[in-house]
Amino acid sequence: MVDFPQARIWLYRLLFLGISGLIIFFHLLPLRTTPGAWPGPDLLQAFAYAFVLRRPEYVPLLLIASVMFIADMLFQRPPGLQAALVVIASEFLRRRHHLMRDLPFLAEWGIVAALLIALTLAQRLILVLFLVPRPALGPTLIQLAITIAVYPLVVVITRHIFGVRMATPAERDAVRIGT
Amino acid sequence: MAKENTSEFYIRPIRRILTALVVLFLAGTFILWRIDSPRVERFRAAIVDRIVPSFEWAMAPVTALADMAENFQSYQKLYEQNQQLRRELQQMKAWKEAALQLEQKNAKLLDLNKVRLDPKLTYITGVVLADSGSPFRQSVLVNVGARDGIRDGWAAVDGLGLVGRISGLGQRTARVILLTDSNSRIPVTIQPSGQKAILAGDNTAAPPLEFLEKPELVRPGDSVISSGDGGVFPAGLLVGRVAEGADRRLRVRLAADYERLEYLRILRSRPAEPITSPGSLLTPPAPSAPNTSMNGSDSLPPSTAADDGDG
Repeated sequence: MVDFPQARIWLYRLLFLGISGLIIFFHLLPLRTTPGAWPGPDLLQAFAYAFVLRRPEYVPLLLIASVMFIADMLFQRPPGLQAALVVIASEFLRRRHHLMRDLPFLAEWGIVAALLIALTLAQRLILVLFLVPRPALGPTLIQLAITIAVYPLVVVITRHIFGVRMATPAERDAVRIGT
Repeated sequence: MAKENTSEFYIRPIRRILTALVVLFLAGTFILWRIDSPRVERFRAAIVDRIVPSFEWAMAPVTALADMAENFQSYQKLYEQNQQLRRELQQMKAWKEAALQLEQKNAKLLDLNKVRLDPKLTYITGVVLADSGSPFRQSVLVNVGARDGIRDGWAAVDGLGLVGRISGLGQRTARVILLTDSNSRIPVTIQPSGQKAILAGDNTAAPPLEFLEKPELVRPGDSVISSGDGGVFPAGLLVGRVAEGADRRLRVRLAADYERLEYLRILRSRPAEPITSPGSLLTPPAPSAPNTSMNGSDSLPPSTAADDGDG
């Protein structure tokens, strides 16, 4: 559809920004003003990891950092904490994305699930250390489980609807030369 | 492969430094927030103030559509609902008659006794723009802010009952912490018994009552109104009714309709006038006019005698 690799990269960066904007927008809609409903999955994180593992050049560090920071600000979370953790996790995946290409999807799912669990634990630990009131444990665990359960769906959407697939070696070389 | 390695050789350290800088910046924001929370919260309010109103054009129709879809199920029971409403209306008419008569009688009695009531509260109405976006926080954003004279701490009500209070203010938006949020604490009075308590939100639909002195005087069904203790909140706003939760705790079923928060009234409340003087000693008026020294009035009989002697 677009032949120039550089234009294609920027198009996909915009796409990621659009998806994130849409997710934040739907979170903010005043549809659920009564407490007690089940928390939804953390789709922002899921999409970030799915993109990073497929095409790390589509989601540069600063894009993830700014999207997560804005989300922290808008969702009344402790500002910067989750953003910092997601940046660390995405960099961890970015370093290893070329190893992932040969692994089956189950392995990828397992790694992302482990990361999500580690992130939740780290976040709670930091909140305890800094004496910040923590959200209730039950809904946090439910959200974690739902996010892990939804991740394959997010990957399917990323791959087949947005067409973000793992790069072939030839494409990777082209990108390297281009940048 | 060789070329890839050399480029990696240069890019990697730069990437690492960049990552470290970004993480440091984000962690720094978190620590700054922990140290100087009001400043960062003001910054947050400013960000929300810039971003959310720009979503407004899309938010209104999408919310309306979703509400319509939700309401569609209730259209199926339209006939039953209609019948029920007619019955309730009949009862309400009788109540309205009674209330009108009582109101007139009350006004007459108050006038006869020269009772002074609080001046009526005035309000600003705002539209709900957004909710907190997270299942762990219960708050909504309204489209009136510092520009409209809103202040932190003012009460927000829907048509019927208390909804929450303003906490976080931007130029064009203000955040209303709902009574159900786990950070919300409101002093209340439970009506027939006059017991005071704190309504402490805990992220459930019916927040519990805390610090009740004599729980045995409170029964499910008693009405709960704001008490105005602490001088921040206007007194006498309806909050809800007492109910006993499944965990045997006394909880409050809120009067406001939290399912449909669309318009909120923000009540302008003036701070209570503080009484600063500690109540001075009451003395009979001094007979001689030019008495400027304060010591003279402390022990009156001798000093007046001395004054007389001097004059």
